[in-house]
Amino acid sequence: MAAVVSPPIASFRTPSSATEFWSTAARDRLASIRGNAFVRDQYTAARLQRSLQEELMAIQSVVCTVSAELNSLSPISRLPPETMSHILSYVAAIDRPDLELKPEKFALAHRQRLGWIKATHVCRRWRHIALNFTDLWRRVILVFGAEWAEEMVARAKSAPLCFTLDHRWRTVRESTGPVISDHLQRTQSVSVLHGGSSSAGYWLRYLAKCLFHKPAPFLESVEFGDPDERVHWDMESNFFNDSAPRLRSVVLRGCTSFAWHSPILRHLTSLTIEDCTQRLSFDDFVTLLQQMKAIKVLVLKHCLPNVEDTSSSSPSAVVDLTQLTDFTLNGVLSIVVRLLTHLRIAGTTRLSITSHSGQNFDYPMFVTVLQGTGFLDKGLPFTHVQHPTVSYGACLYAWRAPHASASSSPHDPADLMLHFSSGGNRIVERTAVALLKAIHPRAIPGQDLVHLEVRSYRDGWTAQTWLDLFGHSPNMRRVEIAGRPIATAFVTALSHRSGDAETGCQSFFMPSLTSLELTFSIYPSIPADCEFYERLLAAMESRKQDGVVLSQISAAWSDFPEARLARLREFVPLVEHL
Amino acid sequence: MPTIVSVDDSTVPGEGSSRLLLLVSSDNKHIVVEEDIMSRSRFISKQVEGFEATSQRHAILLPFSSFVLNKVIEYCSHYRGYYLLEDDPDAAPPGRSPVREWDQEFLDVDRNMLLRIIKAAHYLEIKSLVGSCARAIADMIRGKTTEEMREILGVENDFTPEEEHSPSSKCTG
Repeated sequence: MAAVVSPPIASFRTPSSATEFWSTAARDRLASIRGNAFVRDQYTAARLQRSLQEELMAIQSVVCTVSAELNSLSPISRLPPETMSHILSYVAAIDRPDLELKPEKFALAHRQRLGWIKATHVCRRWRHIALNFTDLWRRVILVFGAEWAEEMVARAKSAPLCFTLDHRWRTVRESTGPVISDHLQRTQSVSVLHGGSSSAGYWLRYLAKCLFHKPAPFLESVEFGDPDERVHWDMESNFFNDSAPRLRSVVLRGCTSFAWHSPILRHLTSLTIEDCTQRLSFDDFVTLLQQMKAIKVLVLKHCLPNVEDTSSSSPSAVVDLTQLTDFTLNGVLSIVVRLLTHLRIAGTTRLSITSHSGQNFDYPMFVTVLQGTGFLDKGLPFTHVQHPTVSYGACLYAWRAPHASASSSPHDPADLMLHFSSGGNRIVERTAVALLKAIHPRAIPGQDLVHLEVRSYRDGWTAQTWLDLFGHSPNMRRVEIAGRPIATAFVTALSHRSGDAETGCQSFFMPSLTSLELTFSIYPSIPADCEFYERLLAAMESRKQDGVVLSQISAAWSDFPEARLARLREFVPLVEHL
Repeated sequence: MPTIVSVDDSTVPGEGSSRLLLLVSSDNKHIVVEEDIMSRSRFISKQVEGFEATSQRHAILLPFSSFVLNKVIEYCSHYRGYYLLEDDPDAAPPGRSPVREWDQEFLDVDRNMLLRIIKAAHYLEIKSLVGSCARAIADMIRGKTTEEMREILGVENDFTPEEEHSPSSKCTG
């Protein structure tokens, strides 16, 4: 058969000429095969079949060549490889393999849930770039089994590896443990989540056994355990001893037998321990903290020393932890307090306390302790106090002083925001108020407080509460209140005068108040003649008589008759709807 | 390397307090822009350093159209004086942070234009713009099947049957 000579590609001017060429070529090429469709001889038929398959593969190869030529002209193919790598990095960051898929559906949807890996199937060039871009492969998610993990490890070449293992996947077999273990020498991070399955405890224990005794010269962070579902597991090793010199961040959840004495702890900058039943004595605990000179983030939940260990006979030395930036404590508040008395922490540290204390806890004593640590002096005592018996929890948010003037004392924040999101539990709200009362006389004499924001939708406060808490706030300029009961109590307090024993003068509650904002979002239908408005009107009237006038009231009171608003404007120049 | 042509001083009024640059696009449009605006481009910055070394002013010829160039200038003007982390040579690799709102609107263009912008940004060495474009392209193909990706990006399947069923392909899905 005469060889088919392809014309130069430049002469492919019209589709018809291309069609003509290829159809002619195909016709000539297949001429010898045509007419054999009715071959009965099995041997001949098989030979022809093989020939045709070879032809087909050759044609497919040509098609691929033409497709590659076409791709080379497409705008995306003309992007430089480093730009393509950049795009693939983003695809890998935002399109991860679907970890939320239920295990039983996983196999069926396997190919649809590959995430960024699909991008490597687009064309030869993409695959070539992806395969040579080691950063894509070094973050190994062990959801597709050991074989795939090993392939990723190989593709990562010499790049440091980051392993993530999620036990929700049935494809995660025992063989995945050795994958990490075999490559621990070049591993940068290991993250193992379990998802609360029945075998999770076994898995975590097994992996800990595989990993925690081996040399890990490049390991920087370890996370074991799920943040949402608690599973307990044992650590049977001494947690690397000195074999992981670069390890700086450790998160262990549900580890019942943590190796508190591992020397590796001394070098950590971040440590999270949750639910450790094997606890140190109080003195050993304090000594351990003393050795952690580099620690910056420390989260200790349900792992503080037991009450009986806190003997006061041998007081521990005060430990300097002023380098801490974040400090979270979850445990019995008496232990927390005792611990805080032994620590020196910077006032700028973000302290978060979740307490287990009962309602009768001695909050003034707690405040005294906090003052001793210096938190109150900096105006940032804590971010969170939660009662254990309620699911909603109560939040007493931080004192914040972002706008405090330079002249104001560092003790006294100018702005204060209180947020009682108790969602219906009065115990919590009362606890928070008790805490506030205990703190307030010491931390916020009120002289410098100019802005207050309070939100609560429960009947927690009375006018007396307002007077107790903020009766000495002569510089308060603006108050924002959300919630009808608390606002009603506030407007009642606005009418209150108090006398000064020394001068004999009487002054209104918050005499400098000029701006008031009221929101009653969950009570949209307050009757227009309700007690609240009468009290507000009375307060404004009496304050005006004494020259203590508010300049602005903003409120969400769409149901309030315009006539009454006009009445209010007689005493307050600007009354507006929010 | 870009082509640099000498420019008459009268063409480029750059001796005053506000230094100006003359950029010439591939369609021969002359665009005068303040040097300060284009300082986000490491390529332009290096060119300007070269000018200062030779005490001569030049126009900078760029291999993309005025339409694309104007888009890049619009981007640089918007972020004039801003510090963008992505332009930092020591910036961390791309994460999951979303595209800035303004960038999203700015890059709401057709695919070919987006590709031209990212190419120009790469040429001009504007890392933040490369990053935003890359993220926009990544968003276009996020969650799509391979076939859909090909269609979106205008790419043909050029794998041979052997390549499509090769062990590496199997291991990557």
